[in-house]
Amino acid sequence: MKMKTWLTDVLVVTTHLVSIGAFLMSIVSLRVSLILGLVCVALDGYLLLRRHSTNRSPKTPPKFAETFLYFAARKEDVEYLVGDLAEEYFELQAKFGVRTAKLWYYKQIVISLLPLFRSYCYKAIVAPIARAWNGF
Amino acid sequence: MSKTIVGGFEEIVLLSVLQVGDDAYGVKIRQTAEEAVGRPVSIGAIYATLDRLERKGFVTSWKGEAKPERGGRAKRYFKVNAAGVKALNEAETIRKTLAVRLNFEIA
Repeated sequence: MKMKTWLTDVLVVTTHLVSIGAFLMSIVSLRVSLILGLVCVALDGYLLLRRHSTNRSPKTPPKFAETFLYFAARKEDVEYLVGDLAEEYFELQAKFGVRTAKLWYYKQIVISLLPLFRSYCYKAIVAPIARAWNGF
Repeated sequence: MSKTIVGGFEEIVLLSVLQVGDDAYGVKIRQTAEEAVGRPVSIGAIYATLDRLERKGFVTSWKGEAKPERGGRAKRYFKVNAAGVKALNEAETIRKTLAVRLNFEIA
C-alpha cells in the first residue's frame, strides 16, 4: 500500500512537470501543448481519484457511485436500494473478485438513475398536481 | 375489467414477485427478472416499477429487518395481492384475444 501511494505521488509530480513543459511548448506549438495539457488534466484527475479510493477498504462498495442514488431516488427508498446493491456487491465480490463487483456496481448505478429520477419526478411533481386538480 | 392495465415490464416484475414467493425483495426480484428477460435489469427500474404497481394497488410492501451483509440496512418485501393477480390474468386474456384475431400462435 505504501509503495502504491509513493508511486501515485511520483506520477502526480511527473504530470505537473509535463504540464509545465506543455505550457513552455505552447511558445513553440499551440496544438501540441493543448493536447499535452488535456492529457495531463485527465491523468491528474484519474490519479486524484485513485489516491482517494485507496483510503477506503476495497471490500466496501464504491461510495462515490452510491452518492448519485441520493440525488436520484427518494430518501425513504435510498436505504433499500443501497442495501440491495451492497448485498449483491458482496455476493459478486466473493465469487468473482473486487474488480468485477465494482464494474457491476457502477453499471447498476448508471442504468438505475433514469428510472429512479422519473419515479421521483412523478411523486414530487405530477402526483401532487393531479391530487390538487382532482380536489379542485 | 380493471381500470388500469399492466404494461410489459410491470407484468415481468409482477410475475417475478410471484415466482420468488414469500421472500420477495429487491435483490431476488431483480435476479429473477434478469434471468427471465436475458439481459441486465437495473435495481432502479425494479423499484420504480414496484412503486408504480403499489400506487395502482397491485402489490403491497413492508419493511423487513436490517442485516449486516446489507451494511445494516433494512429490506423492503413485496407481495402481489388479489388485484395484481387479476390484472395479470386480464393482460393474458387481452394478449390471447389479439393473437387469435391475428391468427398468431402463442406457445
